[in-house]
Amino acid sequence: MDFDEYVARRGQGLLRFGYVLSGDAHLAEDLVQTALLKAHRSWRRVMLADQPDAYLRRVILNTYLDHRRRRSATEVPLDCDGSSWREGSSDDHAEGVVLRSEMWLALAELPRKQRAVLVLRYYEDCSDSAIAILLNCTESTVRSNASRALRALRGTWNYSDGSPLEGKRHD
Amino acid sequence: MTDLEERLRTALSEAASYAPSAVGLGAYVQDRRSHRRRWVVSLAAAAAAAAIVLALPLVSAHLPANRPSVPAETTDAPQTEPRYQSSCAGTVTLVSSAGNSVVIGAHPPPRMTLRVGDVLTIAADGPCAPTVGATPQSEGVLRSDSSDGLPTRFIAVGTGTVIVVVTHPMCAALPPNPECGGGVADDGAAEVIVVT
Repeated sequence: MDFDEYVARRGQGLLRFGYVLSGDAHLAEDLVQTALLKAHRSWRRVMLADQPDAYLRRVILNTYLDHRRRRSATEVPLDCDGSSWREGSSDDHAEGVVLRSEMWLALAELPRKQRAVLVLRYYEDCSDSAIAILLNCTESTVRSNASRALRALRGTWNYSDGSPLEGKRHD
Repeated sequence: MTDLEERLRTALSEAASYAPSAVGLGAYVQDRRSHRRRWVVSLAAAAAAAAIVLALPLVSAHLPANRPSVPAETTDAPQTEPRYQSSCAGTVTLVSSAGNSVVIGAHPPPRMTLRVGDVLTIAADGPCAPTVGATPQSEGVLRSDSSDGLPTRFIAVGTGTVIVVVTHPMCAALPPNPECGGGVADDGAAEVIVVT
């Protein structure tokens, strides 16, 4: 498979991953484009490894983590409230929209590594060992990050009795 | 899997459907690739230009920049690539001297201009070498014994008559010498000077 064919076939999937990971459409495009350019430089090697998806996911992930670190010192985000998602969901039921919006906001509040762990585990269906390899850490670190992230989400949603957003919906 | 995890999974999957379209992605990558290609071409052109500039002094060093003037009777000689290995025999006659050079003509002509400091090689492997008793592959330098600095003689190994093959770019411009048994003509270059 040559590079152009791969981009045509897998570009959208990579964008989805970048979007879920970063929560920002523009940043997702930047992440994917950066990853693809890096892959293009060594495309033969990437194809020889026979796992271009894994390679690109890893590059997107590392670029995202680096970007967040850089941005924290150099950029001021103006819109991180998931407005694009809310606008795109205008036809959904109100409850679902609120649920996704709150979930999105809660995810945006998480530290980048915890968010990455949740995305890899619940969106990419990666095992803890695979996540540990991708993030270059131990499995116990992955588990502790996931645990802390889920605890934070529960706290944000006041999610304790199986009825999420109970308090918020009636505010 | 807890309810929270289940809802998180659903939320992430739904969020992914709102990812930006990849329509423009290919064009962007193509553009970056062509940009990179242009950059590589520019770099290659710059490298080639730099190589040419750097090579110029080397090339000019190999060119006969101080080539002495060719006597009028030899200017219509066929131009050949310089070679500095040739030999034949002839009779040397001092034709004239001017400035720092001495014009020596074999018999029959060609003639050539030599300067003090020119390196001459005695070649004994030419067809005429045995007849004049040359010392094989000896080297000498055109020197000056006179107070005015004009070249007067060749100091080379050998006594009596020697055959001297001039190691000089000017040799290339010299015409063949019929008396050299085909040496000059065959070899395409080199003047033969017999010093007595």
